[in-house]
Parts: sequence; structure tokens; C-alpha cells
Amino acid sequence: MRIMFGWLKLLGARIREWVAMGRVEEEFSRELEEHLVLLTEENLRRGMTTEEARRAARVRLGGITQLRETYRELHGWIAVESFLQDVRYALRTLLKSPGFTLVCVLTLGLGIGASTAIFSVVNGVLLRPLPYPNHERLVRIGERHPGNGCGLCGGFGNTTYANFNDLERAASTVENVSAFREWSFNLTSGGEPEQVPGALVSGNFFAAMGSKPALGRILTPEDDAPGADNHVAVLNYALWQRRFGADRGVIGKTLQINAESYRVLGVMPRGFAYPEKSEVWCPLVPRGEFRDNRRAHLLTIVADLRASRTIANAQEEIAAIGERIEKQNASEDPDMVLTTVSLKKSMVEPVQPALMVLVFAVGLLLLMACANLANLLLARAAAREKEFSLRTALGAGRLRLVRQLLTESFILAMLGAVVGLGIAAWSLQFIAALDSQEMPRFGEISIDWRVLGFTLLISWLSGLFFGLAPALSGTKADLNTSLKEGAGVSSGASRRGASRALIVPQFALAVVLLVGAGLLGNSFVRLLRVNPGFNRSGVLAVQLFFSPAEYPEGNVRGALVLQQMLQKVRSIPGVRSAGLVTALPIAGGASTDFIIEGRPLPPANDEPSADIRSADADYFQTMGIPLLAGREFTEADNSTARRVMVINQTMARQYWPNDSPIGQHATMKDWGPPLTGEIVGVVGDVKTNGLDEAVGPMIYWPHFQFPELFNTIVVRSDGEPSRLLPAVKTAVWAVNKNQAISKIDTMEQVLSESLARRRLYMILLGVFAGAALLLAGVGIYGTVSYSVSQRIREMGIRIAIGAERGDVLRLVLGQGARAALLGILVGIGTAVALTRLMASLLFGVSATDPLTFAGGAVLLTLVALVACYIPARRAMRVDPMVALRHE
Amino acid sequence: MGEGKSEILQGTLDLMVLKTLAAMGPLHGYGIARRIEQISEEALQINQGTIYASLVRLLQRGWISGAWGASENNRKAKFYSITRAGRKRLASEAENWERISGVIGRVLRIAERG
Repeated sequence: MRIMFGWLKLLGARIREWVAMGRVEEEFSRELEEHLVLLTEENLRRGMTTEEARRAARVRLGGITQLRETYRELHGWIAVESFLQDVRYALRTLLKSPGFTLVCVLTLGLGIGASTAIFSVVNGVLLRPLPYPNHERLVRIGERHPGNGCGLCGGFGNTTYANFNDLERAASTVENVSAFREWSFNLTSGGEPEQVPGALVSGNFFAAMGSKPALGRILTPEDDAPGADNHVAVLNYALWQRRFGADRGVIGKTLQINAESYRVLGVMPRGFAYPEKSEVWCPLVPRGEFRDNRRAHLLTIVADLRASRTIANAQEEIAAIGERIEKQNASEDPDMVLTTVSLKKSMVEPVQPALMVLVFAVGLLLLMACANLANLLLARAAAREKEFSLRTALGAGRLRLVRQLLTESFILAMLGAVVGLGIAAWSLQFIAALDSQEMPRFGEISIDWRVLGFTLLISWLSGLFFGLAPALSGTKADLNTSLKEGAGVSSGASRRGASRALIVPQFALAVVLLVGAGLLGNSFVRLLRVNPGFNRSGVLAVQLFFSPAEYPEGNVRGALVLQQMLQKVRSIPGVRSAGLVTALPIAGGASTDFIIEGRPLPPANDEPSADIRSADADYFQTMGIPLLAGREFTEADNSTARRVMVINQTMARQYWPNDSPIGQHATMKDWGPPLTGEIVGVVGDVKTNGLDEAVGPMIYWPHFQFPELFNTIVVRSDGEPSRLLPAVKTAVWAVNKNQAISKIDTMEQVLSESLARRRLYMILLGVFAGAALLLAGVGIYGTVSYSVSQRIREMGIRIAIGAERGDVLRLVLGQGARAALLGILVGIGTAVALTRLMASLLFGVSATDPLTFAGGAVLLTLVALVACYIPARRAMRVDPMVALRHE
Repeated sequence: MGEGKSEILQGTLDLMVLKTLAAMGPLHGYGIARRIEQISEEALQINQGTIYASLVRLLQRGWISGAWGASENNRKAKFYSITRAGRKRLASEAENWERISGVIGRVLRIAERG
């Protein structure tokens, strides 16, 4: 970066000097004119005619052009001048062969564009600080339970309210210890009922982030105190603009949120969106037992490092606090560990490995583009050997020639950078379109000054990289030989060798990229083939969030309302069946510890855990989840009936490997007082957290016996499911006109979205691999056909003295193919070492999958053979007579 | 660039320009050239343009300064005058010149005898 600024300053100074030079030179011209006038007058006084006097004056002053030249030299502008001269000359040369220039600029643009696009992503996600004033001090504190595997939380789980309280009191290395729970908000005032994402936050949450409101005020610790006016809300900028027309009068107004009245306190500035996608923030008010709850892990904790404390200090202290809490509450929350990381790290960690793989891949692509360009320039330097010899003979120094050639490379690099920026801007739009709210911080990606600097830097570096070798070799020419030599038999043998040598790394790089993309593609195909456990086609899923004020937890009124809605939905023409579940497959959901009645109690820290859902009688049939034993739920399993549960196949196999679970009892430990139910049925497994995750035990309750606030109506239709949407909405609103509908998807979309990240990685790497294949093919084609054109006469002679045409074909083909094969071998070795780095991105294939490796190698070999065959055929068809006369 | 020309010749002209400005006060390029020709009694017919190369060199070293003013026929012209640093330089250069010319004279006489 600093180098770049230095260069810019120098350039600025040069330009200023150059502009000033115009003025100074003008003055000098005036001075000389005046001198001429005075000389002419003197001559006139001596009796010359006007004409004679003027001429004599000019003679005595000397050549004006020469004087100006000397003047400039004395002012030291000659370096700038000769640079500009180089630029002019280079532009002229490049314009003279537009095809060559176009190929170079496009090749380079491809490499620079891909690099810039990926760098923009890395810059936006990994490098740029979080857009909150306290970004340097923000940490996230999470719980881990090393003892029992926690599928979703990836080692960084949420915290209970009691732990949050303990931590806030005890921690001294951090301040503004705040907590939030992601939450849904049904907005019903003004316009259609809308459900927006947001969070219930502790009063010091905004203080921890350090952000100031754009309008009004933020939440303060007074707002979440029990007994105070807790019905207040802060809106984000986008919601304020969209739903309230950017009306400043919204502050102080009362809104209907989750069926209760909330007063708007403030609006956050543009760009404030934490937790991600949040649009509304309300106070997190601990009610009743929740304050002391050590079972419900629901909160995310963020805090600020105190001044002069490091993250290591905080980690140490908070780990110790965690240990103390764990010891005191081992019966309730055993095996609990508190961990601390920077907030940014906690946000971007999941995508970091993939981004690093992409950075690496794009770097390889840029290297390939440079190698291709070096090759093209090498060939061109050979064709211009005579020009250089002539210029050397006329007195140009070698340094001057090298500078000339490097100027050409730099101009190509700059043009490539311009094309590359265009490609990058376009790719970013494409990447943004692919992303379905799956990637952290993707909204922050843009082309900023840092990206521009990066583009400039890599284009200079690549200009130097691909320009230097041809410049040095091109100007090495021995005057005598090259001026005497005829066209076509130049001393280019060593240069051809260099050009062939470039094929090896090119093919090696291409193998690495192809294999990487192949492994990702392979993983993706395998994921698509994974059986999700349900019938994915023809199902529409409509998510509803019930406002707690309207449907207090544990109250069956919500279940009754849902039942009415379902009845209306079932009567829609085209609906085959409709069911209800609390959380869809694939999308994750709640889980609980459980015990099996009648068996010895496991130790407290080793209780088995199961995912937990509530469903209605028609859910399994609607989703196409097979019943394996016992029965499904019926209408009779209502709130007053005997408690029953249905379990999945994995749970049945794991805990009743030899006998039937039907008739056995299990108890759910979390989510309020323990609930015991009789197992009445076993259904097939469905993928819970994604196609790539193993299925664990699952317990279904009848939704009347365990009603929840988050519900999803699933509708199986005869035709295209999304066509039913208007009718389903009408059915829902016919029962409750204020019910917001949060998310509507077909199950196909749910599956597709769950693969969005992988799809993005696969497409990007696939595009890079395709580009690499193209570059490798074009590169070897260029090298071989150049070599053939240089050796036309040799081929002619070979044929004339009796070589079979097949021999010539084999000769040309063999030379290209040998280099390519060597490259492929080197590439395979490199790929074996490198693909291990992407193991975490793979599914169902090993990082050294032999089929993928073989596929990449075969594909590249074919490309090499085809690319060599075209020029080889030309060589074979050489007419010896024409070739020998060719001069 | 200018390396091809003899350093001594350049130096000689610079010295003459400095001396002229010291003796005559502010002059424009034409005036300096005319003055040098007159003093040398027209024996030294210099290419008047070369004065300007000398003026740029002296300006760059800060030995003279230039300013626009009105010439004798009331036109705009650039007038050069010697600076304090220029006077000091003139003194030391003049001394230097005397010494070198003396040495060269002696050397040339030796060469004639030899």
C-alpha cells in the first residue's frame, strides 16, 4: 500500500512538473522572440533589408528548436519526456496489432477481474472492520458443552439467562456485557401484516455496539428493567424507509407489534444490522423464572473489552468465571465452558476456509493468465527481433529497449485492469444474486478504494511478471546474426524452449483448479442425491409466528386457530393435503435432553439429546415421511388426551435396537416442566440440519399437547405448489386478519437454499477452472503454432528428404504433448498436497478422490491434444517446395 | 543530454555572463550577448542562443535571478541580475580561472619547446 502511495505521489509531481513545463516553455519562447526582435533591429540599423535582417538574426541566435531541446534537458524533463514517448510508441505498436492486443487484454482482464471480485468478497467479509464504532473491542461470549455433541452450535452455543447475569456481575475485563435473543416481530399497523426479523436485546446492547441512533434515542438499561415501560422499540433504517416512508414523525408513535402496543424510541443509522438482518429491537425483559433459568440456552452475549485489556485477558478471566459457574450448578448445566472470541471472528469464521480456497484458486488463475501473456509476448518479441536489432544498431541502449518493452507490458496490464474491474463489478452482481441471505456480511461487499488499490497493485505486479522475461530475452539479440538471418529461421530455438517450458506450470495450475472444482462439483452432486427423508416435490411451506401476547405459551388457543386455518386450506381446490409442524426439515430447530422411563438414569452430564418438533395428524402424510411402526397422530391426540409421541427411526434403532419402542415412555427434560409421553409410532428419518449432516434422534409431539409460537403449514398440491399461495394467504387471513406470514417457500426452495453456500463456492471454482482450461488450451495452441510457423522450412526439408507426414505430425504433437503431460503430472502432485486444505468443504468424496483426479487429467490431456493437433496438421501439410522458397 | 560539450567551454561562458552582470547590472539575454561581443571587440562571435543554456544553469544554481521587465523599446523582456551567492562564486571562479589559464599557458609553452 505504502509503495503505491509513493508511486502516486511521484506521478503527481511528474504531472505537475509537466503541466508547469508548458508554461515555462512558453515564457522561454517569448524571451527568444524578444531576442530575435532586438537582433533584427540591430541588423536593420546596420542597413540590411528587412528580409536580410530577420534571416541574419535567426542565424546569430542559432536553431530555435535545438535551443528548446537543450532548455528542456537542462530542466531535467527528459525522463518524463522519454517515458511519454515510450507510452506513445507502445500505444502505437499495440494498436497496430489489435488482435494480439485484444487477446492479451482479455486474458489479463479475466485473471485480474476474477482476482478483484474475490478480493472484494474477502475485503467486505474478512478484512473490513465491522461497521460499529466499538468494532475493535467487541467480543462474543458463548457456551460450549464439550461432553455432549451439539450439532448446530458448532462449538459456540448460546447462553442461559442465569449465566448471562452471573457473567455480567463477575467480569472485569469486559464492560457492557449485553445479551440478545433473535426474535420475530409481527407488524400490523399500516399496511399488510408483515413479519420482520429482529432481536430482544438487553438495555445496554446498543451501548456495547457503540452506535448512535439516526433519529430519536437508543434503548438504555432503564428500558429493560422489570416494571418499567418495556413496550418500546427501535427500528432499523431500511424498515423505517420501507414501511414508514422515512417519516421523522414516527418517533414517539405507537405501533402494533406482536399484538401489543409499542412506542418507537429511535431509528438506527443505515448499515446498522446486528444481529444480521435485524429490523426491530425491543427490550429483553426476563419474566418470572426465566431470570434464573439454567436450561434454556437462548441468548447471545456481546461485550466490549475494557480499555487496555486484550482478548487473551478476557478469555482467561471468562473461562475461569465459567468454571466457577459450572461447579456451582453442575446438576443443572453440567460440562459448561465459556469461550470468548472477537465478534467479527465469530461472524465470519464459518466462511473463512472457503474464502481462502477461493483466494488461492483465483491466485492460480492470475498466474496462469500471466504465463499466457508472457508466452504471447515472447513470441512477439521473436517476431520483432529485427526491429530491436535495427534500433540497437542505430544506437538504442539495451536498457532503453527493455524499458520500452516493459512500458508495453504495463499498458497491457492497465488495460487489463480496466477490463478486469468491469468483469469484477459484473461478477459481484452475480455473486450477490446467488446469495440467498446465507453468507455473513455479504451485504457489505462493494468495490472500495482498497479493492481499487488491490487491482492496481496486482496489475502492476503481473505487468512486471509477464513483461520482464520477454523483455530481457527479446533484447538480447546478437546484431550480426539476427540482421543477417532470414525470416523463419531465427535463432529462436532457445526462446521456443522457454515458451514450451511455460506450458508445464500452466498445465500444472490448470490441474489443481480443475481437480478442486471437480471435488466441489462431485460433493454437490452427491448432496443432491441424498435422500432428505421426505418427498420434496409439490409442497408449499408457509411459516407463521404467533405473537406471545395473543397466544400465551402453553395455551392451546393457538393450536385451535391453526386447526381452523388448516381446515380452510384443505378446502382449497388443488390441495391434496395440509399439515402442520413447528420447524421444517433441513432448517434446524429446537432440541432437548431426554430420558427413557424405566431405565437407569444416565449421569447428569451424559443425558441423550433429541431434536423436538410438534406436528399434527396430517404432517407425515403431507410431507411423504413414511410410517415404519405403530401409528401417526390422530385428531384424538388433543390437549386433554393421554400424552403420546412419535419418534424417528434413528432414535428407535439407537435405544431399542432389539425390540419395539411402541408402548415405551420417554421424558423431555427441557422447555418447561418435564413432559412424559408414550411412544405410539416410529417414522422415517428426515434430514434435520441440512443434507450434509447426520440425523440424530427426533421426538414429535402432537401440536395440541406441546403448542409453540413458531409454526409452519405445509401444503401438498396436485400441481405447481406456489400457485396456491394467494389462496393459502386468504385462508389464513380469513381466520385471523392480523396474522403475519413470515416466509413462504416450496420444499424444493428450502432444499436449494440450504445448498446456497456450496452452490456459490462450486460455481465460482467451476468458473475459475473453466477459465483455466481455456487459458491452458489457448496457451499450448499459441506455443505450438508459433513453433510450427518458425520451423516451416525445417518441416519442408524433412518432408523433402523423405519424412512421412505422419512423422511430422508425431514430431509436433509429441513436443507439445510431452510438456503438457509433464505439467499434468506436476499438477497432480501439487493437487494431492493442496486439496487437503479444502477437506472441510467436501461431502462424500475424499480430497484425493482418484476418479476426480483422473477426470481432470484426462480432460486436460484431451485439450492439449486438440490444441496441438491443429498446428500439427498445418505442419504436416507443408508443401516442401513452397516451404523451401519461403523467405 | 549535454555531457558531450566541453565543461571548460561551458564554464567559460558562465563566467563571462556572471562577470557581465556583475559589471553592468540587470540585463536581458540579448544585452548580455551584445555586451560580451563588444568587450571581446567582436573577436568572440558567439552563437547568441548558447547564452540561454548558460542562464538556465546559473539560475538553477541560484547565482543569478530573473524577472520580467520593460526593455529599452518598451517591450516585455526578462532581465537577469547577479545574486549575492553569484558574486561570491564569481570571485572564486575568477581566481580559479587566472590560475588555470596561467597553468595552461605554461603547459602550452612547454609543449612548444618539446
